[in-house]
Amino acid sequence: MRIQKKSSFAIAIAIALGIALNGIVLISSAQESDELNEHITAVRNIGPKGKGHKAASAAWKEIVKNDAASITTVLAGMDEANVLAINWLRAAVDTLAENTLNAGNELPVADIEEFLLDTSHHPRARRTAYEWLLKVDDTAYERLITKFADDPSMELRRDAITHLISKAEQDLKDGKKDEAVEQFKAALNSARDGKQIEAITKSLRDNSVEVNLPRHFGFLMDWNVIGPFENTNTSGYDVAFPPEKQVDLEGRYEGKSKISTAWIPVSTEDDYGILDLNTVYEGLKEEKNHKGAIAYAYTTFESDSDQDVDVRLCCPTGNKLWVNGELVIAHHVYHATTTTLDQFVGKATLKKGTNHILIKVAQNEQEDSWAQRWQFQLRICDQYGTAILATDRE
Amino acid sequence: MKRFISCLMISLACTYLSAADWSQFRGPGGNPAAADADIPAVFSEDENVEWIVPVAGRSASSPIIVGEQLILTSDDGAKQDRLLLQSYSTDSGKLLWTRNFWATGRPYTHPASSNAAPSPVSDGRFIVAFFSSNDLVCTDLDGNLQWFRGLAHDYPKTGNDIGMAASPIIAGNVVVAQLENQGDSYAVGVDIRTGEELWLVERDPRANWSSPVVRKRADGEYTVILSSPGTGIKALDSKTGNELWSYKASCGSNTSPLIVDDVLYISANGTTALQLNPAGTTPKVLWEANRLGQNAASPVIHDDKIYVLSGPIIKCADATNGDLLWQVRLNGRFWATPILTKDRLFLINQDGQVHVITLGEKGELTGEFSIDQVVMGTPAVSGDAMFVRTHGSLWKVTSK
Repeated sequence: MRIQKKSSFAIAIAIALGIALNGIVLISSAQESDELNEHITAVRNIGPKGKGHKAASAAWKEIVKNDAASITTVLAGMDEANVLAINWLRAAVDTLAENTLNAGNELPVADIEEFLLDTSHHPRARRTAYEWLLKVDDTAYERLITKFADDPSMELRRDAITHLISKAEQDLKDGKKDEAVEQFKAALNSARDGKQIEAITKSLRDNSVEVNLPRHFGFLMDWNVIGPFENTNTSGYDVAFPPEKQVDLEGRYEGKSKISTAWIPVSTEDDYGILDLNTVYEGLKEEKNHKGAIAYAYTTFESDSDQDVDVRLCCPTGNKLWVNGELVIAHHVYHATTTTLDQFVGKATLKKGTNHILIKVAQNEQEDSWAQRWQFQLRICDQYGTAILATDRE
Repeated sequence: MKRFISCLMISLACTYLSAADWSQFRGPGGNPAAADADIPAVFSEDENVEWIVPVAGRSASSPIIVGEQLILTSDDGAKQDRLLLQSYSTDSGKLLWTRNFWATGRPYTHPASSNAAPSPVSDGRFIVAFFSSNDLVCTDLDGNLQWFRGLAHDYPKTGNDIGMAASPIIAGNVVVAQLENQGDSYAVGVDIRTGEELWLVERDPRANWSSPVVRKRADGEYTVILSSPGTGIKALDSKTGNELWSYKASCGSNTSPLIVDDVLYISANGTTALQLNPAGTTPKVLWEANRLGQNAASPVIHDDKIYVLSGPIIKCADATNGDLLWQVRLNGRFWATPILTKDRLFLINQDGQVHVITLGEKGELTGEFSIDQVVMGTPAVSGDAMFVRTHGSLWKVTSK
């Protein structure tokens, strides 16, 4: 009897101690989690010009004292972070992961993969997860790559399209032309990277498949243009010439060198939607009125709804772009680019129905051979680069 | 030579660096003269190379050496918007750590350049990396992040889609970066300990790839000297950004000034030498040499001689008066600044063709061979080893 009582008591004590210890562990884990989240918040609170840096720097040092189990928490911290803080947190994840591996331990690959596959997380956080998975799991690429063809992360999507292109090229080499063409079409449908689209288009066209690149990208091809206006010594960039005050397609104005100018309809057939003003204004060249000059281009865009869009401009010279009278893009830069797509990205709001787009394209007086382009390219798309087409586009 | 060593030792005594460090663009003091370094006259993948390791991404920057670490910057990704800061062991070439960032500014560059065109810099405590996208990063020597600044994020018109290349400099506790372009154009002083902005000075809004240089004053503070085509030379106090003096000249936009023995050599009217003075006032002109035109590579000075690459011609002049002593025609286009080692100059063109000039009363082209790699960045030297970054690989050249 006495022994049974002692045993029962000992068991009861042991159970109580266990509960207490587990409680302490749980409380401790919760405290650690709260502290980690506080440190992540301090990093997320950084602002421009070094604002918040002292606190963020101290917090960063605390974050990297944690173990590998905290990696997905730090990754999740990127979800609501600004572009600066995302970089701070990326460095923290990299440090945590490196420290883990250098100590001979393993990363929590299952948790990281679960994080990666949850598209509600920030694309850059997911990309970070993917890059670490690839480093430690040889099977990750083959298992996962096909999942990303339509991913909201453009980096993941690009890798998936590269994979699709490779498969299509292999099919071609193996004589499976029909399969290859379908793979290329699928790749084109999902691709948003300009160079990939270019490569896929070439492959399709080489195999007699038509591709309407301007439609795929969403380039605006039909315009009315007017010019030249004065821009000697780049003096005209901030001058509001008549088209800026009102677009009157019947209007006629005195322009540069007292040239009378009016709106003329112009369309481009360029695959990349480039409208070459040097060609439009070929007649100005004799008197060099195409140099130190400004032209305006105007078009309308029929939208099926009120929507927020990207307006993506490529222009090697000074430019301004208005959507429905609101200035969306402005860069007073001349001949400092070799970019051919999406050089400047502006955000605009289209209204259902007719929208008005006006571009001011300036040219300076440089004589260098590489400083003669006077042109622009414009497209409307969503944040992922998917073309948004006007309702009246053929 | 003795004066050079004494100047070097004075500067090193006030830092955490050692004599073997190559801690900034063009090395100690910004003058790529490693006169004691015994670098083999010939090298290839199979000869006089201790290791070659693959490196990710592309770069036009120079590696730097701090202790036993070689620090490298690269860009990666389809849009060149992935920024890499990496540390390699100088002994083995092993990758020690990588820090990965996304560009917050414009990542576009000319195809020949890279988002990783500016070279990193270290004071022996911290490493500071800068990218053409105007992202400025600071870590400690173990790669622990101190801070990250997106200067184009803060000043959105900052950018040049041909690329920006001016390397940052450290003056005491201040990092100075020169960001000159047609948009938001300025020089900025940032506290190296926190990344907080100390001062910003607006600059001429035109493209300029020249890097600033720093000089320690007699009062222990630092003067930062900026060169530009539009406004010539401006000397600023590093702590406040206040202008101390200026010199009007139309300077080249590609090469960077050089200070040796209190003489400032600038790319103006060919090359111009200005005598700096202890009072810290406007320097006087020592000489101008129209024949010493600088193109893309900056000059080197050693033993009272200045070496200037004028296009593909390497010219040697008397550094005290600018008189041309000899010149040798080389081949190709050069971006990397020449490296002076024991009795030799190494000049590597962008196609990876190595030219070796043996120095003496006349320079003589004694070696010309190819390593079949694109080389844009100036090599770094530490001890008897020269480290060359190519597109895709990192080489340790040594015969020891």
